[in-house]
Amino acid sequence: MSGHNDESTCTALPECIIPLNAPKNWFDRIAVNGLSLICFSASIALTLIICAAAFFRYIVKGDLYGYEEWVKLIAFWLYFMGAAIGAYNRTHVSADLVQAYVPPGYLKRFLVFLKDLITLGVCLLFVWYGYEFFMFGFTGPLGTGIAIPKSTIWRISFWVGYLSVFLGLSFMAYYFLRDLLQSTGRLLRRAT
Amino acid sequence: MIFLALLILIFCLIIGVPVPVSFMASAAWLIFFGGPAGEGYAASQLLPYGYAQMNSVSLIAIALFITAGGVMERGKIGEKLIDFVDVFAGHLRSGLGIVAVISCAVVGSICGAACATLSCVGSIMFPRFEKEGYPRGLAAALLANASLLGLLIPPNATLIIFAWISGQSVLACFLATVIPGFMTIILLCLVNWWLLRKNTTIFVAAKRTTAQKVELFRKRGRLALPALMLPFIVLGGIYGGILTTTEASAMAVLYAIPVGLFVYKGLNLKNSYEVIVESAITTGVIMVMLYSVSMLSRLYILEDLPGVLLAVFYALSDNPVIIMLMINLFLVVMGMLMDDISVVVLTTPILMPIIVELGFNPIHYAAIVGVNTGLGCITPPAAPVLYLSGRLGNAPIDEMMRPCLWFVLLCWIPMLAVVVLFPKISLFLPHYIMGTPW
Repeated sequence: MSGHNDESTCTALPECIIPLNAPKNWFDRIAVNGLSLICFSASIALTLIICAAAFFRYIVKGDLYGYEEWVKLIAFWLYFMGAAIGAYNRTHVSADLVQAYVPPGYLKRFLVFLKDLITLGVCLLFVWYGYEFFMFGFTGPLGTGIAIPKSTIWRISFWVGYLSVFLGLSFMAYYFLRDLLQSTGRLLRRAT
Repeated sequence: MIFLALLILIFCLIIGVPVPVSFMASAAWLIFFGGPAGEGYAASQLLPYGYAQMNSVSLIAIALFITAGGVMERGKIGEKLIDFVDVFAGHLRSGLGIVAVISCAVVGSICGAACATLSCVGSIMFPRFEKEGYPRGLAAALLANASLLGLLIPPNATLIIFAWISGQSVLACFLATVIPGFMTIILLCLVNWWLLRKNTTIFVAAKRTTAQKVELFRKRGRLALPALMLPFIVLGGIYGGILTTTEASAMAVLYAIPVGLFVYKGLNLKNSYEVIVESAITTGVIMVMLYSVSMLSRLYILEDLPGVLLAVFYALSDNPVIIMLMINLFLVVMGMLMDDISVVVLTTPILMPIIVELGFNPIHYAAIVGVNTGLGCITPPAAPVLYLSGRLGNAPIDEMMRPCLWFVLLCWIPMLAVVVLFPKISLFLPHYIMGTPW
């Protein structure tokens, strides 16, 4: 297993994840800092809400009414925003046998390009599915904004959670596109 | 179509497509060309299915245990725990190895992941190993092997995922690996002692008198007390039936942050933010993998992949034990190519129906998966824990391979054989504590 990083020695292990490693352009700076802030807030919120639920049950002998609806929603934002930064950092898990065993040369560059092409293509397909999924929640099953699916207790619209899936996949696709452009550049430069 | 879907998956994995995207690629093929007549499946049902599967409070425990592990490492909580363990074994010949093994078990029981355990214990133990003249390769191999105790001494992320996918009780799966975990601790210590029995270069501390031991125990115990409360909260909370796994993980984070900030002072506001975000990234990477595999496994089951595999196994042998050995071999090969969590998320939905069909207890299989994925993590070519240990300990991989091979041959393979052939070892605790059937 290793991270699919061509340029560094990152191995997709927790130690090599450097979330705040100075994004170079303004878009990445805003995106990565924003995503990091969401992840941090979500982690803290999950910790506090779950501890509060345990506290209410054992100490106050009460019930933190419908807390599960909130923690599940927050958890999805944590998962997908974390995954988006993972794509930025190239720390998604991969069994990277090409990187390890194919000697440097045209074949390796081509395989890396092919890998990035497949990664982006498949991710874009699921971004589309993610969009449809979000729109299903946002406009309701009839597509008219009526009967929007909501949670039972707090009446939280489900699209809030679906949006995290769509946004997370979109950011992942964006960073996979960056990887593809880089590998295409490497492939073409060496070929000419 | 299912074979092409599998081929696409294998091809994508080999060329280095990220694991979750490889799962999505295989799923995409089935969406377009799957089904009895090749008419495909409705894509609109797939993401909602994955969402519904992931919409679980118990999965949040993974995120919070990862955070607790990160906080423990940066907050110097692990360091105090190791100092305390050193009181009991540090003065023995090859005692530092025993300290490392037991520390990995204690830290692993909180971190719940091998790499986090290794980086936490390794950063503290490698300088000590060097100071006491341990061979670099042996020290790195020992820590790589010992860090896998995090997969056996619960709670851990791999078993939470296994329980979630297979629909088993998380606590029963945890309990199934406790006895194999303790047996592995003993075997690792014995193999370490055996490998060092003729080594004259390692430093052996002067024998401590009883008074010295008591004084050391008192001194380090006082320092380690806040750190020792952490395993007490997690393990006591879960096994005492007071807290659910998710609540225990949240309590661990809530306790570890102030201890790291104000007691041991390893944390400050800046690195607290960093460690929480780093943990969130690790969590995100794992969870997207789970999301994609939950979609893929649904399609595989619609295509009856477990039935096809079972037919292949039956064609080779109709003896359940032989089939179980083949399944283990399959898991070992998968473990050689992927990390532990990827192996569990990919194989569990496919193999679990086969395990049930063959008449094996799913909780017994949980213990087999725990030991087997541990073995896979230190078996090249993809041996993430081994490589990480080499990097942390500055040990060349060729120096690590020989001692690592001894650990595999004398510890992991016998342990796997025992767990496979004697189900009562893993089923004993779940049966007596939770009343699960033999």
